Amino acid sequence: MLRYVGKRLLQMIPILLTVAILIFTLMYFVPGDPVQILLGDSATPEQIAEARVRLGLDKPYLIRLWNYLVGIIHLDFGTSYLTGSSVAAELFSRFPRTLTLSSLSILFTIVIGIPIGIQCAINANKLSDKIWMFLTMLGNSMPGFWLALMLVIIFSVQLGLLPSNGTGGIEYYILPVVANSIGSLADIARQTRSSMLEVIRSDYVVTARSKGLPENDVIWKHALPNALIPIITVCGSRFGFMLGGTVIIESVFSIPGIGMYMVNGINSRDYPVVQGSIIYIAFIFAIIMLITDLIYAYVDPRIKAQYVKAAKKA
Amino acid sequence: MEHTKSNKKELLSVRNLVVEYTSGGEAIHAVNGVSFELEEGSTIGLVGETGAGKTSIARAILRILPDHATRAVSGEVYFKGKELLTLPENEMRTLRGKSISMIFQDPMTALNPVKTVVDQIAEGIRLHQKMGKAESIREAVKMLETVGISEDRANEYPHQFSGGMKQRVVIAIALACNPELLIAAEPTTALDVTIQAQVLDLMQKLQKDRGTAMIMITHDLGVVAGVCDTVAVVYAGEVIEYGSKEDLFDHPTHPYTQGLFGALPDLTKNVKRLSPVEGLPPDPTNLPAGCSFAPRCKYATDACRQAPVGMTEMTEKHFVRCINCGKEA
Repeated sequence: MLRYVGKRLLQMIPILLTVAILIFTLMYFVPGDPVQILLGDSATPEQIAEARVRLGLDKPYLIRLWNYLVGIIHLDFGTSYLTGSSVAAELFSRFPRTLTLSSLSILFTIVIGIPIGIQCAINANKLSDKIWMFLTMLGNSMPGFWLALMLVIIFSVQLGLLPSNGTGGIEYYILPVVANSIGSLADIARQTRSSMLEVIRSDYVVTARSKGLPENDVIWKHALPNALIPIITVCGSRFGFMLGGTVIIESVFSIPGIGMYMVNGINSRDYPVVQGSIIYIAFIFAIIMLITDLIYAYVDPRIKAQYVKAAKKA
Repeated sequence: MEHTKSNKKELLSVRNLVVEYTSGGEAIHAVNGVSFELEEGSTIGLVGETGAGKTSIARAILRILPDHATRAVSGEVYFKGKELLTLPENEMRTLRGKSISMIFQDPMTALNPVKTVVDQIAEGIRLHQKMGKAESIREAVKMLETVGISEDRANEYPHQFSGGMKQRVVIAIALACNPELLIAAEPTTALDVTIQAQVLDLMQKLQKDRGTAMIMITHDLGVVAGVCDTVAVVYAGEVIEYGSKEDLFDHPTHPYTQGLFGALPDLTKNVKRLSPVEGLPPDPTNLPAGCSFAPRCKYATDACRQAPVGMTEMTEKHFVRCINCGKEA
């Protein structure tokens, strides 16, 4: 199993290099001059030329790409054109906030969403199932920013119970987490329902029942573990997206996380910031996918056997 | 071995069992008034075509019919004097797996793919014998050895076993708590012939050792000949002939039973073609008013088609659901 993990980690290197080259090239060809934006309309040609040399923008494409890749290997993603601060340092300092928001959100999603899905599957096509399915459809189709604003209006402005923006203690995270997870929660509930429905009618569940197990054990110990694979897939990709920065939620609640950093970078053509953020997102996704695959193996011994076999072959 | 049976106690009595499913708003009459008795330690065979309602009978006894599709279950099932169909669910649960257990048709799907085989056996033991984890695992390993699987494979998962081995595991699960009644729903159908023989031998040996009564559900007359004491031939959800194995094999009386035997190859005679029972079983959503076999029966008269046919006792304890058979005899 360790061999499998090692192999997967090594595979990440070419993926990340490809992403870095692609994003660097794209940004190189994007029209618009960052120096012009940086210095404003009043800048003289001499000032612009001087700034280009200072930022290294006067060198040819291949040399700039080479320098960039060498920097990445040293965990140096360049410095922001705008603020002059290190992109890597900025990403590192913002990461804990995004991580906290995403982890709490995914936790909330799982803890609430899976039990709802299970209840729906058990009572499939009964009234309670229909009500929940209607609610999850609603949750799925509600835009995140609208829900976030509604929550702020109700809980901060009207009731004054919770802070409306900023960071601090756990109370600052309650509204963002709820707003951030409703969509995923509805998704997970629906996914759980459909994969539980398939499993609940399978023969081994009947076997479990015929042993005389209480219904709760039948559902949680026999049916659920077999229904988990597609649920884990959805959770994994949802978590990946959350960690990539939830731009809207971070903006509404003024949480200085990675999403906001990247959007600001895009708006001001701060190329090193955009490139650094994209590579960060690629890295996070690769890590989350690896973790997802490892959870598969933990849940299903057949998948674990495949991994071990594949790792031995290579 | 049959001689001592007569003074044994009655273990199970099924009376007028009816199971109806629903599908797309239509009622499916799967079991239509089935009755039979079973003595302690003996074996009854339920024989019939696919779709005759054999497995529904078994599931109704254990009350594990699929919730979403079952519309109605009625009749009475007495197990050691207790009526099972009206028993509260939590009491029923104490019987399942402990006093009555079941072996399923397809070992490929009957085992939970994400649990080790020893766990799946130990689970029932832990529940019913009130044992600790370690002790129940020890018992489960013993059980595995009883069905011929060595201890070093105990912690493997079902996907690491062959079909025959899986069925042994299923048998081990079913027999782990020494049930008084074992319901075997086509336990050998999904296995190839050599493995079938092994599994049947194993089941018979364990049944003899433990004095377990058994309901053997099968469409294989060879299996019936091998293991059953009494036989009930099921057709369209009804028992159409019921008697001892000897009665049925030596004097098959109902035209359908005769047809079943006619469809068996006989190596002592040089027959070019087998003679199958012509036609198909009736549609369970739309059963005929009279004898359910009448549409396929070459002896059918108008009287057969008009009213439901009752059971006639041909010889002692040999019943046939046919109005013509009684007359001929």
